[in-house]
Amino acid sequence: MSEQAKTKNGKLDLRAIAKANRAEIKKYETAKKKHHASPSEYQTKMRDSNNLIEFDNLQTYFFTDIGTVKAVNGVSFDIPRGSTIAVVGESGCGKSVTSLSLMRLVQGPQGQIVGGSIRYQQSSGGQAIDLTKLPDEEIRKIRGKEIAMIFQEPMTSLNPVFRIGKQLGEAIHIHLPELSKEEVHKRTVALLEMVGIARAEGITKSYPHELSGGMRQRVMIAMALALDPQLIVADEPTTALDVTIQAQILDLLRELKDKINASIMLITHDLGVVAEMADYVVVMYAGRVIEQGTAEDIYDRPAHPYTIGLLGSIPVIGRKVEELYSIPGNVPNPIHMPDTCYFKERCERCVAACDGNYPDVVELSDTHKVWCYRDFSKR
Amino acid sequence: MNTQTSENTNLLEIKNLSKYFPIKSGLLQRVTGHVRAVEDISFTIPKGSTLGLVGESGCGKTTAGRTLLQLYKPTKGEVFYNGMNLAKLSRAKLRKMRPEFQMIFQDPYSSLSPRMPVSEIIGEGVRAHGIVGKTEYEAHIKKIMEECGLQSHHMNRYPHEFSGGQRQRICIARALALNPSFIVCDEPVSALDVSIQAQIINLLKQLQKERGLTYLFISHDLSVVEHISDNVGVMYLGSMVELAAKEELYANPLHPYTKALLSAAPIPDPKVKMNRTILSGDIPSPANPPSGCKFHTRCPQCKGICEEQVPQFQDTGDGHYVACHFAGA
Repeated sequence: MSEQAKTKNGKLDLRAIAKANRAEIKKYETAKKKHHASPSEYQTKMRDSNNLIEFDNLQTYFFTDIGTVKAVNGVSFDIPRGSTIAVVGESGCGKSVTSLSLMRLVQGPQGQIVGGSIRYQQSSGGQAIDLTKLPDEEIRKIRGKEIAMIFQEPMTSLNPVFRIGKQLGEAIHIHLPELSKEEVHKRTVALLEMVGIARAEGITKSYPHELSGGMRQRVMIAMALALDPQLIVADEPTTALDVTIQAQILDLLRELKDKINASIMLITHDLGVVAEMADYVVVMYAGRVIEQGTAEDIYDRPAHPYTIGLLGSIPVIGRKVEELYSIPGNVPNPIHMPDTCYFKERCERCVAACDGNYPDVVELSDTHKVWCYRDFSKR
Repeated sequence: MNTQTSENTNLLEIKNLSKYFPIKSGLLQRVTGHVRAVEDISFTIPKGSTLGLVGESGCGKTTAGRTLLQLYKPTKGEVFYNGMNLAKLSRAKLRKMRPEFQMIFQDPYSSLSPRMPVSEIIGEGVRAHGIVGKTEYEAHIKKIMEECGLQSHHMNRYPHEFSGGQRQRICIARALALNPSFIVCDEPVSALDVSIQAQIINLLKQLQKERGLTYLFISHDLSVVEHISDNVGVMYLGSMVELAAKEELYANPLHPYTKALLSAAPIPDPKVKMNRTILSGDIPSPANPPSGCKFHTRCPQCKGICEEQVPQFQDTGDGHYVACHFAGA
């Protein structure tokens, strides 16, 4: 739909936008229903055999009645095997939608993956597959088993009317139907013990409200680890927890990751947690990756003005500053994104080229990439 | 702290403040026990300074803030504000005092009425207390809004039209409109994004400088508290376990709980891989606190005496107060 058609007498024609977007949604939904994909349609090749996941120009849009929100707008990064990668950004920057796209859990019908691919290397020498093109029956076999997720709010993600044992056992039962009830129970207890819950036998008979926040998050982690996943997606796993409990949970995650040799995709806005956990860091802003690199790259040599601003705006224990740096302005409206760099309005280090198109990637080193027009040669 | 009644420099003086909530159960709703949300805390806040109150959720820091504003009636203890005992004031007198001390709440999404325009949210208290005359009313609201970084032509908008950071500014404006001298900030930045957090903290600091405000800053974030406070108190399970000047507390923590809290706080530097003291277990229930030192169930240095005797909250020198049997050693 062209830009002119969306405006009438100089004002936005909301009815036209709503109509166009509903048609768009219908197109994607019918395409999904028709899909009797043969394996050749979703099988693919990894760019690098060391990677477990490769996001390649992923685009996830939300078609709302007042306009299209490009929540994820061309995101590309890799998750190498056995490493922890952190996706950082403020709320609304698209970090959660990126992880939900990976799990194919984007809220439909408004939310649709419209382009790009997510390549995933299956375990035990299996084929590489494109998760965005995978039919629903196939993704169900992977979701929860090979790729597991830990959600932010442990209270709301556990079902209050079922006992812990039942909720934990459900995932095991679905993915491994050949196990008997006793075997499932034994595994459930072993899982709870693995995440450091004493009295695991008793806890299986408790309801979620009987547990503290830290315990509930441990149960969530146990649930995610139930089937030895290759990748654990942790969406703000410690945001709702206290500092001492947060330290316990982070310690546990790190220990378990090594134990089952998994990768972690950590989504958070807490730069302290990132520094502690991550090998690689991806910084997102308004649906795009603006900088990525190893943890040292990002913390010691931040290149993008937004990353520099973020790092300057957090108070650090033992670092005395009279006034915290604050990034001026707000995140732009996601419906009307400019064609220029999205950060331009708030940026204090603009150069002449910033008025042009969205900047291309600049590779500062093998690992460190930044999307910005500034002159990096002098650094 | 100082046991004499208020010196002029102290705006607020809390003595042995306690707040118990009754637990009722059974058909007749008989009182079967008490949740000791705040137990026997004492501190003073000098005029124009900030006291940071840190602790984990459920440690009673919010209850302490509310009790000292007399939003809850204290079970025991005294609150001296400018030498006046608030706990003993009549309701009418207390109401007259209210504009003097205000509160900023944690969640700017739920603490603003969605049906009131901003001018009404800020102005309601101004009218109720007759802070300014009718002719100056609008100008006063506009002035306060601009002081808090809001555009005054937004005064007829509703809260849903603002972002989280702006809403928190509205909350601050609402408190400031009554020209208070003391503000309880109950986790004012924990619901906000990092870059917005910095804006709000800077605003609070700037207002303090301009108006000579006194803050009680309640937070669970040690780095934020270090940035904004002059003195810091650490609470655990309803009791104050340590209280000292900021520099002293962060450089030389004496209570094992404070040490654990400081070591658990993540530091945004990948090269710092610390040896943390990770506390095991959860906070015990405040309805049934452990005997002796309340922290002994999780304390890495616990000895026999800790289970039996309650440690005294005492000065170890230079106004560094701590409640631990082994603090001196």
